[in-house]
Amino acid sequence: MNIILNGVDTDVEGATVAALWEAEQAARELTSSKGYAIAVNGALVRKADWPTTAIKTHDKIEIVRAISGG
Amino acid sequence: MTDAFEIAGVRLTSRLFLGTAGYPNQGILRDAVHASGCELVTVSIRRVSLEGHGTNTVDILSDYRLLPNTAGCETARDAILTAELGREALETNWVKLEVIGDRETLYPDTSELLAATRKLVDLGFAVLPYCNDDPVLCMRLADAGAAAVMPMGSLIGSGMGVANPANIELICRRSPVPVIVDAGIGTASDAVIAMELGASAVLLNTAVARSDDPVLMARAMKYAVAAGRLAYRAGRIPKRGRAEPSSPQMGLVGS
Repeated sequence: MNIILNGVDTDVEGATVAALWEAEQAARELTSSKGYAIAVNGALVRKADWPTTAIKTHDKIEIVRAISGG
Repeated sequence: MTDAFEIAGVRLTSRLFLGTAGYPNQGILRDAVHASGCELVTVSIRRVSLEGHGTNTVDILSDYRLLPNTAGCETARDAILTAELGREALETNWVKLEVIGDRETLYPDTSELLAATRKLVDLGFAVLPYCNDDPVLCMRLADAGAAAVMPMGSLIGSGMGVANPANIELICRRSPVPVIVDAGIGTASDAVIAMELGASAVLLNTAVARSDDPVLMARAMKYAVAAGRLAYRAGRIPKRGRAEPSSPQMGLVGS
């Protein structure tokens, strides 16, 4: 399925936000989602809702993290 | 003697807030934050990099209160979403609200800032808006429910210090919420001045991060903020345009 992930056309296999996160977590060797958040089509998806939030073709998904800032 | 203050019901003893960007490396950042004695540091919310990531700022600063910002946002809509992402990522309802109206000066877009403040207050955030050194705007932001106001000392990253001390003093004197002078601090004396004018706290980043020795400058800022606060509480003497001898005028030798 093709989605826009952080502004880039991306093919993903997972059907939910949770599946997308699990792939991201594995790729980045992360142990928790602390410091991370996800929005779908301009709206925050709470972590509790990740397993039940389906991803559709052409969804615009933002995965963000807290980094250094002023 | 403690001289704590409160923002949104949270007691803070350090009156220095430190930004975490632009340090030579994460080790120096950690050491500088420690040396500053601050309790609160700012972070930003950004898309994860496709190329991976370095050391996690959140992990190395886990002992500090993290204040996510909305830096770079140019509309209330983007700032609100960024604030919501920050709240979810860091499990804090505090947000340093920035809505930038001009990329060259990084001046706030005041109408978007007010609109975003109102909305975020409705959504349960403790909003700390970065704003102009404008007494009316600061009053409007407080009226809208801001937990504190953060008027600029001068342009972000400029190191020009407190450009309009009369305005900052006026804002501090009238504000019903804590005033945190944010941006423009260049060196320790600038932080002293901000505190002497009555600020509750100072937020700075570049002055420490880009100094030759960030850890040493962080220590300097710790003492500067404390000294400025003590001087404010002690009450400065009025300025006068003529000399007044401090030593007694009676009993001069040879008189």
